[in-house]
Amino acid sequence: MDDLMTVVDWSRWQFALTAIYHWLFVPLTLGLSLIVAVMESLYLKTKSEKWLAATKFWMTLFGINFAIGVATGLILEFEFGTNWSNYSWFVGDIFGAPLAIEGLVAFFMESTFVAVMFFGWGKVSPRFHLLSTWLTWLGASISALWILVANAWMQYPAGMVFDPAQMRNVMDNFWDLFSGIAVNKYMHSIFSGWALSGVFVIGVSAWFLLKRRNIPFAVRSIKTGGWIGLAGLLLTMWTGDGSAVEVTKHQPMKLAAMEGLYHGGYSQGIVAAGIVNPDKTWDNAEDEYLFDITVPYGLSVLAKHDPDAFVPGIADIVKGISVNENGDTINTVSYEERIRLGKLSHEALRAYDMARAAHDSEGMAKAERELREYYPYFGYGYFDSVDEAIPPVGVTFYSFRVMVILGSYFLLFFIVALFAVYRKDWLTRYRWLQVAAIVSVPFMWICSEAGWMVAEVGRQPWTVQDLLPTKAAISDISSASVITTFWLFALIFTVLLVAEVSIMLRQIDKRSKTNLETDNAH
Amino acid sequence: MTIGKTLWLIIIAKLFLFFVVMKFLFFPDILKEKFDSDSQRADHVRHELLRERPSPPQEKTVFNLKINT
Repeated sequence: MDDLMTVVDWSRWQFALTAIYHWLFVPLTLGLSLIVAVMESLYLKTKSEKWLAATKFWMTLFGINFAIGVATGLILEFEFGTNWSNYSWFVGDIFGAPLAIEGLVAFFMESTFVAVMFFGWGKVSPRFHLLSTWLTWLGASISALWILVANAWMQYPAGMVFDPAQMRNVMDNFWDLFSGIAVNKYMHSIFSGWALSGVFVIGVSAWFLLKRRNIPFAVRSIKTGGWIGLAGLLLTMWTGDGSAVEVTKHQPMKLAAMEGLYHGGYSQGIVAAGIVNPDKTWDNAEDEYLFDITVPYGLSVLAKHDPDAFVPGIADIVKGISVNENGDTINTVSYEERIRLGKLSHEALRAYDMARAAHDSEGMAKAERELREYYPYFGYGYFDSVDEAIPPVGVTFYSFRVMVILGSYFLLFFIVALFAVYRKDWLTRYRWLQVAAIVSVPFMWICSEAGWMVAEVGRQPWTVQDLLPTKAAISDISSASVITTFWLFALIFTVLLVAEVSIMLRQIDKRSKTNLETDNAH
Repeated sequence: MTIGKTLWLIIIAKLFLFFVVMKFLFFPDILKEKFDSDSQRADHVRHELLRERPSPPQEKTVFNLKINT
């Protein structure tokens, strides 16, 4: 038993490690490509060498990030085949489609136009070069679309039918992949990339100001990055609100874990800051928080856009009080009953298998009917107690607050940066503003990663919501190989990260000493 | 060394490490390697998904903040 849980835990740590490192590179690609495309458009419109120099400077940093980050996501696909082979087979027909489209269309589109963007200066017309830059941005954004659609499907599986003979879920409606969860998740991730890149551009430009180098270039960059970043952050907040509504409908347990809410109610407040009680469980009488500052009505507004709405807590959901897809409060199936029905679905699958081996078509049909009836609870059949179906509340709760608090800080950050940049004496006079902008940069990455922690830890114990828990998705492999590759990846990715940061810092320093007001610097 | 050459070297070294070393030595596609047909793969996954699986002891799980309390 210990070995199985060790394999599950190490595989989860390994997947988390690779996903976290991968996401260090991705949002900067998504946002910086847009900022570069906007700058190049301004160059073509104004014919000003200043914009050309700015375009090339930021394009170089984009190139460093792209070169070092490219293919880090493929490691996740290796892990599907080795560590998560049960999962890969069980849902491969659905999950594989968007990933294949991503690899065949979007990634090749992005890679092709990246080549034109970097090597095409002077070799293709300025207009075609600009088109290539925009298509690089579009390719990266479409690439992210397919990955996020696949991820969203795991959070809200739809558009498939389970085939017990093939032992896999088969897609029956491709368009069901584009659920509300998928649309919000995609937009939320893309726009957060714009915001992250805006912070990056402002932070790097602030360093120019601190060093008193290329001040007009830095001011120009802060204006461009600031407006795109601000727009990105506001859109991230808007789609984050949409995501909360979707999570309430389809993953109420995740919402309850995000809030550390065990006992819900009408007109539910939201905890702005607090400490969850580690001794609290769904079935004891302990307090939910050791300390909390609650905003009245906040959670009801966040979840349903209605200050009086009912929001269920963990204990409510376990007992079967939840919300339906329209957001209405309903009495649904309790978790104990779900576990019972899940085990019945396993029995039906066993019966189907035996009937198939005996060539008993009547028995197969009967077993399949029962399986269809209980299949929505298939994943619960792996649990022995309802405790197993509850996500880790602490990590989800704190990650959510880190994301929201830092997100709010960065709204202020963009407003102050833009205000300061349009009052030039502020930026050049106040060194603390420049230092604050530089120091803020890594916090934007923490904010972005915290968002993923909420999404992925909050949906535990599921790899595929209600159908496949992580402990069943795992391959029959030894923990030793997973532990070895975990540390190998930790080493490789750390080396890549150190390389990225050091190459970027060297380039920023080197370029800052040249004249970035003309194209002669390149 | 120019920035371009440095990045190309990193890309090539990384791809070699990922696709040659990691993929071949550490990340076999288990179902493809162990079985010859899809029906065998389906049977294996069926066996895997229907076998008894232990429940994790809650206090030991590494993703829970409450460890060994």
